[in-house]
Amino acid sequence: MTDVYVLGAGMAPFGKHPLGSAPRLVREAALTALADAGCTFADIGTVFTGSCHPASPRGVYVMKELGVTGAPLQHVENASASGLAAIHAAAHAIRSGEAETALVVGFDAPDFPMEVQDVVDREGHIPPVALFAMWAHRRMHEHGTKPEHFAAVAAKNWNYARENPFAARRSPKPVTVEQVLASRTVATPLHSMMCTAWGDGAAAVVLGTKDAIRRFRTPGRPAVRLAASQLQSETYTPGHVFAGAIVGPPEMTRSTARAAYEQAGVGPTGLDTVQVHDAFAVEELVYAELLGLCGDGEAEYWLDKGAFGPGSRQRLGKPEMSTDGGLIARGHPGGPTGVAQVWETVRRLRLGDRIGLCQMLGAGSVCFVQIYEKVDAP
Amino acid sequence: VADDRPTLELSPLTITDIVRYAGASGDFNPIHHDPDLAAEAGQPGVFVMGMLTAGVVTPYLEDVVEQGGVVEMRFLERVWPGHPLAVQVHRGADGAVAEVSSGGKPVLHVTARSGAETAADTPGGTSLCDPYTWVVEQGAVRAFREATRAADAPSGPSAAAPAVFAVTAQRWRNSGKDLVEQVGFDVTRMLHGSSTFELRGGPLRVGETYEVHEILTPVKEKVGRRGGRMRSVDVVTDVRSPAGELRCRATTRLLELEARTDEPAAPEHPFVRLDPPKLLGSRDDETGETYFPPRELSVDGRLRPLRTVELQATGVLHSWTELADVAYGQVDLPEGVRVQAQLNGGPHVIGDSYTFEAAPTGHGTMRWGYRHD
Repeated sequence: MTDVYVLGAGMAPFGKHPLGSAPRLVREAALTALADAGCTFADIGTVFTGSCHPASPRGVYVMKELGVTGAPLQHVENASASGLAAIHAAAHAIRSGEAETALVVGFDAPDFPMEVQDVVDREGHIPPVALFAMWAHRRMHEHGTKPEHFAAVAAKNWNYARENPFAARRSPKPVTVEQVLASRTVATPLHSMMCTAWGDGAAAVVLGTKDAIRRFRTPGRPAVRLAASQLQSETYTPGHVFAGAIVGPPEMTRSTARAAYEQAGVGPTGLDTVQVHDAFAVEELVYAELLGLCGDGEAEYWLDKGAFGPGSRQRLGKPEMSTDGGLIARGHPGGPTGVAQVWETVRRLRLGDRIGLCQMLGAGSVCFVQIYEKVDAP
Repeated sequence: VADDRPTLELSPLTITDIVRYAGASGDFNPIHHDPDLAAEAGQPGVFVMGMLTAGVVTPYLEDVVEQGGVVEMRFLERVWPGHPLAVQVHRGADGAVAEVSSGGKPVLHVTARSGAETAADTPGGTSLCDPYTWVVEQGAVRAFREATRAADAPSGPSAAAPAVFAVTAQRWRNSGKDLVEQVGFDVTRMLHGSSTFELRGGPLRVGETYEVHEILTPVKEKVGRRGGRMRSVDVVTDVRSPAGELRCRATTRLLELEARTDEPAAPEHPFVRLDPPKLLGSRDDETGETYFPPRELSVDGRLRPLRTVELQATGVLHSWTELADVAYGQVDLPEGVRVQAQLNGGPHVIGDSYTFEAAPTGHGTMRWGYRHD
């Protein structure tokens, strides 16, 4: 099967942007990604865009910013996972031989006022924050988790975001557990600093074949290979919750990850860096276990030892998680989030990590797990 | 029949006229003075009592029945306060007719003819009250004349009472019961269809004393002029001299229109049932699994149809949260179903027992959730 590589990646800042910013944000992110790949829009064989905010323009409108070349263009929507969904579809197009290069742009920036919260709330009578607050309460009941654990995850991600120029929440000073616990309670036991701030933004990657990487080669740089891309939707489990904007059952992450590990030929112990759907702090603890980074019910133990933060890989053998700030601090516009995870993974692999994993859930729900691996330039 | 009077414009009847007539006649049916009730009945506002309009018009015809006779009125449309009224009287050899219109639309038809017609025996039916004695008072006659815009008519010690004055006799009843209540019609759907006043031996007079019997005839059902079923009943008021001789028979026909059906019934909630409150789910008889909310087909993709079942009311709280003063929870039912819903009756405790509750909130919506036992 044809291997798929990430040739370039680019970002535009996440956060609040004026209405109608989508074309500008897409242009910024895509130009950076194309430059990083060493090509132009004229070299792109197929285009996949991902967005999920109903007030965002569709991909075909914003892509005219870069040229009107007749390249195939598909707009992908899969809730919060729209960005990874667009990459997944683009990878298929390359593997099938339909195209040698693909530009993937995830973006969300509304053209007219419409609160993300209203959009999400409309999908069910239980708001997402309430669902994850219930995960948190249940975890406290079952594992003795303390609010300080959720705060520690949040503080870690806020502090990672201090180094990310594109993050929506960049604290001028290091963020402490106490500071997180002192923030407003949104849904017991979750405080506002433990919850994503949503926001607008754009991120882009250029994917291509081995031939494409040779053609646009940037000398002296390692290549990043998409070692696995897996998509699953829910499988019925006892006590299945069917209604509303749900992200579950958690088991979906475990089985999607298992398939991805098999496809990539690596396991959880081989991971250096992991990006997950940490829209609410409790999720990162749950996904650490479902991805097999530690045993069930052990995430708090490892967190207490300093796992999943800076230096975790070297000191404890556990990957660092949400290294760009995650959904909590980097921000979570639905369309670009998954692409931003890949942007961060590529950045980390070029710096020294060898294998990175990206996981996103899309309400309804679906799960994507992708594994990226640093390889010698072909 | 020849026109011997031109059309006469009457100044509109007002809310004040309604108040004055209610006091003079004893007609306190709230549909004529309670705007909220009128709105509930689907009316734009209160409307004029039929007998007020009739009372204003009959003086033009009273001379026909001076020696006895029949005054008959049919109420065709509601008369609204402040709307213009016009009356045209036609006279013939054996009587007279008054056509009353409002804005060009006929609202009331009154005929008067001389001579007695019906049998003197009181018709069959239910007595509305014990027979009672009625003294025709000078002040009551004067108040009624004023209320019907005939203040200049004589109202001296033995003056003739208006032809329709028998409608006021009921306030002398010994029973405190309300006539509308006794009839049992829904006041929001009730109309005054027609009235007949048969007078014998000349008009009732101030100062005279009478015996009054009130009879309610059996309820009849029929199809109305505009389609739709209606019920009708006659209230017969017989006014007799102390010697037992019939002096006046007032027959009032009340109609009750069919209940309005233009508002569609609230649709059944897709998965909440009341009395007792229950949630509906679906059962797969092959696997024994139960699902919520109800679904048509099996979860394994093999498209087996499922069976709708009532879920057990009580379950165990799996988890909960409070968001903006609203508590949400996940309740695990014995069937293996997890329901996400609002919670009531905190403080909330994981592992405790919770019971389903539901209540309609109007407009087909339903408030439902679980209460801490």
